[in-house]
Amino acid sequence: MLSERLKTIRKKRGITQEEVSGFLEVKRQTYGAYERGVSTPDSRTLKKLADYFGVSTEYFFREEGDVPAVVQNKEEERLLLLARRAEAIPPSQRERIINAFEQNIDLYLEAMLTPEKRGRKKKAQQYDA
Amino acid sequence: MTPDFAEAKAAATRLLLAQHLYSLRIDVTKLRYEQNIIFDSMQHFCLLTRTTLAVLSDGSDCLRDGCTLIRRRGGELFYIVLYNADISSRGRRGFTLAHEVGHICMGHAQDGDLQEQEANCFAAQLLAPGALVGELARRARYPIGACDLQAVFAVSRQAAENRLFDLTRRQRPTPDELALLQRLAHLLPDCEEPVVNI
Repeated sequence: MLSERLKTIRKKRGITQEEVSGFLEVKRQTYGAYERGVSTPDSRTLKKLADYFGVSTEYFFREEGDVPAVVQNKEEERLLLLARRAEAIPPSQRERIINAFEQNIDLYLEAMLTPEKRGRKKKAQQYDA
Repeated sequence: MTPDFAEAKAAATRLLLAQHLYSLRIDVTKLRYEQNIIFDSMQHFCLLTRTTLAVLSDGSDCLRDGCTLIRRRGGELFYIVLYNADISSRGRRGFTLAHEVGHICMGHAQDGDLQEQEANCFAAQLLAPGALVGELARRARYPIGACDLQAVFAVSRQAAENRLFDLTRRQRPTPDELALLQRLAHLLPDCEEPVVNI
């Protein structure tokens, strides 16, 4: 799946193997092997590839048509939640939790990123203490 | 896929090398990051948004320790690391924050077992770098214990015990780890006497 996804997104973006391998600072054959599925990039290289193509690393492991986690389109506006044990709860409940954060996140960022955000952050620490 | 522990350690070491550190008791919220990271308590989040933890967690315990929210806004990515202020142990809270930073630095977009293990490895290395723990053990004229690591690195008991276990299967330090050791070794105690007398 990874090899196909790499090849697909590269062609969609109209980028050559030479350009990608140049960015990764590896030989073209090395990158070509990733696209042929002969070898697999390590996680650091995968992260670089994700950054290069503007997608999340998870994108490479999803089927075509699946909604990627973080991509450079409308879906990128979707909030991403990382929480311990969140994978263990039912998808419907996980969706409700994400929706609850979705409804509040902009209000929160608005409050934290206004000119007096420093004061807010200080207050956050005081509240914590 | 298997967890990439080598990369998790390397990412934590790189983050430490990018800092000007004057203490080995790392405060994760005070480090300098390339990303926009906001550290806050979930309670303060609730206060600002007029909501409750029960509503946010939908009755589950998945937010018990903390969580990270990733939001793109105005072309910028914001990482909001929320922790539970009810956790009074500074060591445990520090590990939770370091764990969440691990997810961010490793570019995780989900929180499965693999990502959990990598984030834990990252946190352990960030709070008590292997090369420094090894040097502490080398300098000490007695077998160091978890309490020594707690005193020097301000980590939780559990994290200290895990780190000591890691010490038994320690690998050769990487060039970055050696550079970190060279830079921070002067912050280690001489250890002629036990750091903590039990």
